[in-house]
Amino acid sequence: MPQKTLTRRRKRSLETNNIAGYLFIGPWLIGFIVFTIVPIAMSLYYSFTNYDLIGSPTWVGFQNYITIFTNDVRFYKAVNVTVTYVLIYVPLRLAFALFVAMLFRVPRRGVSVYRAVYYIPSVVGGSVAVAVMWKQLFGRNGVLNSFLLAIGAMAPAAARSWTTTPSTALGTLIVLAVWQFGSPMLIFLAGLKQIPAQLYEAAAIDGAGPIAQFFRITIPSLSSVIFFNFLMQTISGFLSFTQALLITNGGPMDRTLFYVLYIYLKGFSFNEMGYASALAWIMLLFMALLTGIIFKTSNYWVFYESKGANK
Amino acid sequence: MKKLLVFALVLTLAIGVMPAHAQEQVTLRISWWGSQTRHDRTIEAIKLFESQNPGVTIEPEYMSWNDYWIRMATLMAAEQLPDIMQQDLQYIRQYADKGLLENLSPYVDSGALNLSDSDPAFWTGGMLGDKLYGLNLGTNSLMQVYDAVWLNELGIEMLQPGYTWEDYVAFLRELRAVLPDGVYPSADVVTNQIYNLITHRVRQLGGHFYAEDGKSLGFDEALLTWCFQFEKDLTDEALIPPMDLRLEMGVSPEMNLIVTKQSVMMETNSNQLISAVNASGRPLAGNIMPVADDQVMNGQYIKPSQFFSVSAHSAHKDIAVKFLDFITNSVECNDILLAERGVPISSKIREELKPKLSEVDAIVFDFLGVAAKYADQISPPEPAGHSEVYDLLKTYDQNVCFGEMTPEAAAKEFIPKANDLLANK
Amino acid sequence: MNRKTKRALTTFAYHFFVILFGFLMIYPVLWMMASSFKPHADIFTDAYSLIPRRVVFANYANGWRGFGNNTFGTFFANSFKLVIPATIGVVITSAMAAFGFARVRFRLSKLWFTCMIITMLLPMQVLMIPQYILFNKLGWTDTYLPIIVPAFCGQAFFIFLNMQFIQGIPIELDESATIDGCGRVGIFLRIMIPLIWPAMITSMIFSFYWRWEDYLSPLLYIRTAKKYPVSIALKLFSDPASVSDYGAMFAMSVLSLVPVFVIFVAFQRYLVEGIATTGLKG
Repeated sequence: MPQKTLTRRRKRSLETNNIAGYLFIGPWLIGFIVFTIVPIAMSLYYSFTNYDLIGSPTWVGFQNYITIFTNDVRFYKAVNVTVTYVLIYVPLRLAFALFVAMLFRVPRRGVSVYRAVYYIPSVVGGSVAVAVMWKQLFGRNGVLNSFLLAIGAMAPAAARSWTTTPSTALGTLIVLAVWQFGSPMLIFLAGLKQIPAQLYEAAAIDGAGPIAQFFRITIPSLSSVIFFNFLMQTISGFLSFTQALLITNGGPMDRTLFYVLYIYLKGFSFNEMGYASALAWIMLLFMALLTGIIFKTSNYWVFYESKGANK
Repeated sequence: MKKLLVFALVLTLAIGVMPAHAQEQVTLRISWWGSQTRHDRTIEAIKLFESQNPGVTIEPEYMSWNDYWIRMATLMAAEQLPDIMQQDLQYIRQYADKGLLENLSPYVDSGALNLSDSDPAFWTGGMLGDKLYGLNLGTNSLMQVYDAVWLNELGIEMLQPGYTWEDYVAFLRELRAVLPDGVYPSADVVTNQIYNLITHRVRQLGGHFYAEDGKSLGFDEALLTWCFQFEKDLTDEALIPPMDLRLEMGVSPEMNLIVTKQSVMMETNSNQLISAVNASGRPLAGNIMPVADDQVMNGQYIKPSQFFSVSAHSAHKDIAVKFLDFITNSVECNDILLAERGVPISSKIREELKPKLSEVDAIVFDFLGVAAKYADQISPPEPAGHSEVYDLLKTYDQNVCFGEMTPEAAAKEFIPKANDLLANK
Repeated sequence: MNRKTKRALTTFAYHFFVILFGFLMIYPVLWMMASSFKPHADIFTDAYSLIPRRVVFANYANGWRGFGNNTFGTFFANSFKLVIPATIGVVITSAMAAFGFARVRFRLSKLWFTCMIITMLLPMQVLMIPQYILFNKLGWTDTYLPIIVPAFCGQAFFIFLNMQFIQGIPIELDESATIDGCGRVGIFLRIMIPLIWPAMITSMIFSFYWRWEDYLSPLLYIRTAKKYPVSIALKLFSDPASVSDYGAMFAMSVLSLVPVFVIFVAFQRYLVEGIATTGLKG
């Protein structure tokens, strides 16, 4: 093929193509405009109103926002709890997920059974049954206490109910979240599969051991997936809700009052949907900022094989 | 084409001139929360009602407690509340104040809702002022559940109705002396929630938890300090379990310490005796709450377990009320429901049901008879700010019991905050 | 120690620790299964043993019976009716949108991408009421449409996931395909889909599971009990204020794990077996 044509064609594949672009994102865009924009806009409007779910909301300007920042102790408690939770659980869960994914990526005898077993916790979800189970396991007479007593790691007098003692309640929710590490693990596995085997073969020929291979090949090749998991786990950490609702109900002493749980209480228990919406929009702005920062830093540590239209 | 039009016209006319007495098709929606037994029995009762009222269809919508209130909030916003909804003391005032519930008093006056067999003490709990907004579906009262067999083995005699707070504490101490570590005389002080302790005590002094207009608390710092202190003392003496254990149990009787024989007593609503007996597999009995030497009124009260209310926007209020009357007075219907929602309000129905009851149900029925003798009129339903005040109270109570605050300090902080919340609702 | 013994030892250590931790991983689930076979009076009195004192199947029988006329057979069927179309829809449209965002240059693409990310940041709890009002106006309440139709518009999480995988594929592939006369649609169907297959399978497993366990949306939109999915039905056994049948709840919870687990087992091998992308970057 003549060189000239190739260059022209190559250029064309990067050319703007509005029809193709809107064709591919079409379904999403329609959904966004029809089902998402209106509710989002309405929640923004509610955040400037007093809305007890009956009749029409009354406009109060920035009143909700002012009250949140100046006169709401529970808001600060909720922020504190949520940030602590995210800071601890995200790194732990990702490290665990990546470690296990590495263990299970090579086909070996029994490995598909292991994979299934390690994934099971992630499908039990956040049902009432799980809440009962978790309370029992971490209860006064639960398995954890029995184990600690048996190995002599705890004095009998120190036995406690872990989910309802103020100092440990959040910890048990973190353990639960880390225990359910299956979703990032699965994504890591899918990502590991994309790394070409020759890269490892070449590195092995160069004399790189498994650890050197991990840092020189696996981590860089996986960086886009790590980035994805990191961002998504952070977001879902901030949005955590079900476990705290079912297991601790925010207590004891608000020590597990997750931010979204507080929004939920305000909106549906106390019927202050306007206030709840304001809380949600504060969170949205904070997370948008955070996400923006994470995206910006990703330029320095995430390697893409190809730069897409948005990179 | 023309023929078709003519045909359509004739058809329309035919429908229009159909005899007026032809069955009108009416569909009502009804919603409740509950457990499997309740779902099964209520659906069964609805079928019976439908068979007796041709043309009427009642569509049930049932959920769990938490989900129920989310759904109702959403339906409320969309102005789609069901024709008949199960209501609770905690919420009924909010819904009524917003004009969402139909005043049932006129129907009682007209006899459409026949309460002539029901003692007013059993149904006036659904009233706000002189208007009836909820029909009581079953009656409850706070109960001290105890293991009579165990007490017998221990050689300790149970307190008799009319015992005082002092008697109660002395009794717990007596038990403490003979019980091993890790086993508690009682699983909780007044259903695990300080709220009931305060309510009980403030009533004995002649007041109510909330002021009459619902815009402030009905008790002062001194009373709250007394309650916090009382609970803390019981905890410190290990007469009741430490706070973390009480929170672990939660409010489900199935998970109460009495089930695992880690406590001799528990406090609960009388209908929950059945769950405790089922879960423990042992016979249990019930007693009333303590009285006080200085009381001007009984702390104990007969309480509606839940109501059926009729939506103010319902298009078929007459049929909805008819259903309520059916639930209250139909023997056949109550043969199906079998007092699952609590002891029925109609004395006639109670008599009818007595021979058909299980052993536990019979204990609950008898208990209510005793409790009624030691009971006074129920306090008015909780005001709109209740859930938030309740939440706040729990937090302060936990602060006291986990030793983070003194009873005095907690009381001092709580009162103005709660009053503030209530005033702003 | 020769190499053979060393390898044998490593293998042994691998299996030993994996099994040990594996037991910790599934202990709670085993506990739940054990509880589902215990008679009512043993569930909490004998809570800590994994082997029931007495094994009964009554919880399964009683649980399956359901409520009124609706057995769990109905609820399972409902869940499938809801989850399968929604999952198919979301997997396909998400992959499409991902390709659009990652490989096509078009006006306002950055704006739409940002919008998409933002939709992930707002808690569902404040959108529930406006969304309900919207679907109510469309007359879609008490049907599965409010759950299925939006799924056919993709989901931000999966779009973004697929994008990450598409960006791992060299652009030269698109270019040579263009030279061979492939249009965008051709590139997407013939080149991208086979290469991002693992991401699509992952999306499918997640979507199935998330929609299977989601109870908030069905709770809002599905009114009549005979249309309830399993996630809602599971909650109908317990009422803290009266009687709760925990045995039946555990039994049905165990059963509800089965479809999710089967989907995982059936599809996970596509994620790992055979390192497929050889020859791409050589």
